[in-house]
Amino acid sequence: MMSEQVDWTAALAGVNGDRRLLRMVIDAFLRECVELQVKISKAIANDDAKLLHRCGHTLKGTMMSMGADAWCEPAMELEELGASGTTDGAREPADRLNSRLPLLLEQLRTFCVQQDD
Amino acid sequence: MAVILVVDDVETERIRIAGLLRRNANHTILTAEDAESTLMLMEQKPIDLVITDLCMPNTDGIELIGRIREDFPRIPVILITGAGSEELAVRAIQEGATSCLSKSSSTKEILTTVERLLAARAVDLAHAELLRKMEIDEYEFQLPSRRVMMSAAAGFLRQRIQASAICPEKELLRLGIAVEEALLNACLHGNLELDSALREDDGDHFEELADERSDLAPWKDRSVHVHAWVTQEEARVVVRDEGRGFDPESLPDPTDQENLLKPHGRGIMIMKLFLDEVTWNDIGNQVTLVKKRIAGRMPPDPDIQITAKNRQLRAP
Repeated sequence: MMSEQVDWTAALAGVNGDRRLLRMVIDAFLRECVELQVKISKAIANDDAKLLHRCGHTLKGTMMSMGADAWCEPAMELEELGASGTTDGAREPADRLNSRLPLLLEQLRTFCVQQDD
Repeated sequence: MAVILVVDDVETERIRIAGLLRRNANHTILTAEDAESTLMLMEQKPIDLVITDLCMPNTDGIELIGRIREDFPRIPVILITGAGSEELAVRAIQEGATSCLSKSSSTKEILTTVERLLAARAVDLAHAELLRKMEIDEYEFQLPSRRVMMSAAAGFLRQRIQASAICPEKELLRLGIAVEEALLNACLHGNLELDSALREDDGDHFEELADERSDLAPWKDRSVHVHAWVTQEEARVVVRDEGRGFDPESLPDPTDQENLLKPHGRGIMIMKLFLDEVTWNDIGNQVTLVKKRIAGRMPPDPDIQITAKNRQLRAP
């Protein structure tokens, strides 16, 4: 497993080194991440593979662009399951995602607080 | 300064891409979160470039690109996509995306692509403006009586009319066919003196005679004269042959359905159907075709008029 640390070098590269822009991007992610978690749960409950695929894809993409590759694996599994037209077996990666996300969100929030100081 | 529209249903990515552009390029950046609001915005504001995500709910990026290509064909579109969507990206390019970038592309790559496409668009717009300002675009040809030259001339004139943007795209093909009919009539019936009646059997004799006379005096020495010009109001093509002329009144009524499939006079019917006026000179070796603007049907550069003159339709 990769170290569960945000790669800030990669994150800053994604915004051309602009910390203020990164702060704005993180703010948006913090909002969207919660919505995506809810949608993933709904997709599994409603057996909606298309929604699962979209949410997994979006989460994976946004995490990658913020240097959070270490958290991508379960999102990628959800995306692949959805792409293959099923939600069977999605509960496990979804749980793994939900249990690991707080650490990512904490690191992101810390960055935001540091920028505010 | 250009206006760039960033389309992505994911706010995180929308903010990132729009932010990169706002901070590093001297352009106005607008954003939209779905295809519907994108198209609505494009109707309302002059957009120079669209950067769109591939995966979006309802109407996805590929469908959006197709609709932009249809409704705003001169506006370049950059598709921006995440890992694992390479196959779809190829489809998007086929659908009309002008360029494609990965979401992990460097800022430099994004900016370089944006500036390159904006530069190309500026040239394209200047070219279109230049054509709109053109007073007259005029051509004269003296062509040997060979069918391939008639087709080439018709294709050339069609391109010039297309470039002038005075004719809706959907009419261009029919226009080209009508002009080609005028040219072929001048060549085959006027200069080579071939009677359409020869086509009513299997047509072989007609073809043999056409080939034979193209290389034999006096037919081979005759030319088809084309004078064409495009102005802001109209496009005209005048075709004159060196044959003996004919009496257009002597042809069967080309608009009568009974004559629809007969080879005799079909060229005239096509011209009359596709153009607004078809007139001949007194001796019938010059025909003029005119297609007039359909008021209100072509938004920016409406009118079209085409005049083709002169043809000989049958051997005496």
